[in-house]
Amino acid sequence: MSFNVLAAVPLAVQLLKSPLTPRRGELPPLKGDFTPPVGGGGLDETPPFVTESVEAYLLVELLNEKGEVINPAYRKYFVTSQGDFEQIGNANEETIDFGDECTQTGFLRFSLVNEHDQQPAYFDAFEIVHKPNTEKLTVTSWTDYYPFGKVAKTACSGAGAYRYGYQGEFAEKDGETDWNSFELRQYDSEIGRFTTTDPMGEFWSSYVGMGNDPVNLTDPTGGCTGCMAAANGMTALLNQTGTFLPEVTVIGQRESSFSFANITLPTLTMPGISMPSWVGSTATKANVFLTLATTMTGDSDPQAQAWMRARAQTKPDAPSVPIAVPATRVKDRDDDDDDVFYHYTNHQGMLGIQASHNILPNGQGKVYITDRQMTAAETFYKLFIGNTRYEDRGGYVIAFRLTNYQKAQLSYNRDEPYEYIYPGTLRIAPNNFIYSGINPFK
Amino acid sequence: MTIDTINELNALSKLFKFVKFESTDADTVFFCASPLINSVFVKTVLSLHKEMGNPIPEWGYIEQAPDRLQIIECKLQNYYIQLKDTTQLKKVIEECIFPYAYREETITRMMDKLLKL
Repeated sequence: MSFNVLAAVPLAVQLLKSPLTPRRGELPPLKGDFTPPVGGGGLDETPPFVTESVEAYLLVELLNEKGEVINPAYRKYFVTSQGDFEQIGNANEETIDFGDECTQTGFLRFSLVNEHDQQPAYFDAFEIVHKPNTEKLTVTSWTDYYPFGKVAKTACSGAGAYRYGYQGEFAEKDGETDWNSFELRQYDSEIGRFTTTDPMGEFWSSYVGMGNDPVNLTDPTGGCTGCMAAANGMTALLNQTGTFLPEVTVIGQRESSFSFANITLPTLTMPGISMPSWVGSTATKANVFLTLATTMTGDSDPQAQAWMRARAQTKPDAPSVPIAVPATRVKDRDDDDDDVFYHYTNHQGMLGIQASHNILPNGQGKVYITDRQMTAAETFYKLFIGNTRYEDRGGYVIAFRLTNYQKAQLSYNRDEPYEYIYPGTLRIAPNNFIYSGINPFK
Repeated sequence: MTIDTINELNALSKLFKFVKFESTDADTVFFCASPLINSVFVKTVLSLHKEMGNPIPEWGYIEQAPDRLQIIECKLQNYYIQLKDTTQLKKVIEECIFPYAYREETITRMMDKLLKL
């Protein structure tokens, strides 16, 4: 099988050959009718195949920021087959050049059409490459994710943020709830769980996301990590360098004739998945099953996985340059005029903090600390408002100093005389650990 | 009827703060928007600081407490009573923000957002 590629210069898409398990994504519906050409192909209008040998072809579109096709004439690259339906590309990689047609910020959309009913065709390990002479192309936006989809770091410049984030198009993020809107369910990346039960009942817990294995699995619809979605695909941010768009799998269906005109829509086996309208909108139908994972998280490529693991371990902790503490933000309100903070706890809590040097947050993600020395009775009434649930919390105390960065994270409310709130886990540096043990204050 | 100890004042103060600025339950808007609750809340906090010998707290602008502002916005967006009367809505927002001062553009922005819901 070979890939018909046209000569052009700056932007290239490399299709890297790799026998990896495909992952799946979803493509937004195309605007207008899509009519696969019969007997034509390629920009040079030279038919690259005979009808009997056609198995799949790649459609590449340039979209602007609004999702409109910039070039109304689709760029079509036909894949031909000389025998059994096998992996595309005889060489280790195939490259498509787009020339200098990427004249504005937007998206690249790839669609793969296959007429075979059982054998999948897939492009593996997409990579968008900017060649050195494309100086006008720059990275406009990028996002790093933790494995379960929480945003670790985002950078964006210019107008138009990348709309589709974690797991690609099918995990669109809701700006209000910060949930990912999968087709069937909402997903909360903070906790790595879906907010409702799994309609497909795939895992032991119906709330887990990607089977608790987000590095290796994707869940295209919120229904099933192993199920085939009706129409999957991918979009890729134009002007992005070195982005892996891992795999695109195509499963189509053909009938007795191999002519495109006789291809019919496949029977969908997965409930709840709707066929994109454009697929069946013309008499000449093509079966389009595009699958991929558009984020590193869902990639099965070893290189991508290694990259993701490395990224996942990089947490936005204290920067190397200390942040200046605003004078009005944190001020020492106790009498001893030092810079020592205290966390009152019980014996078990003290042991845990001693072992890990971490003070874990409560259910609301907060760590309460104070700068006041209190007896156990004082903590019981002043910090825990006499609630017997916390009666033993004043018996032990951790005394420590905070880094300037940590101080800047403290929230200090003027109406609170006793406590500060630290967001998230409070890590105490070994050098800042002053005391942990029985509450010594009398 | 009197409050006997500073611990009672402290506990009451914590309760008010939780209801007004920490709970994300939309139903707490019922309490947050009450001028009577606000009045008791301020009296409680002032009494507490007075008893402790602290200076009188100044709350400043709500924009300086973005976490609390965010919670207020969140609650109002999910409040089951849709407020379409701008005068009434502004009053509710002001009471929710109390005792913080606010910038007019903050109220305008919140109202625009809420009225579009």
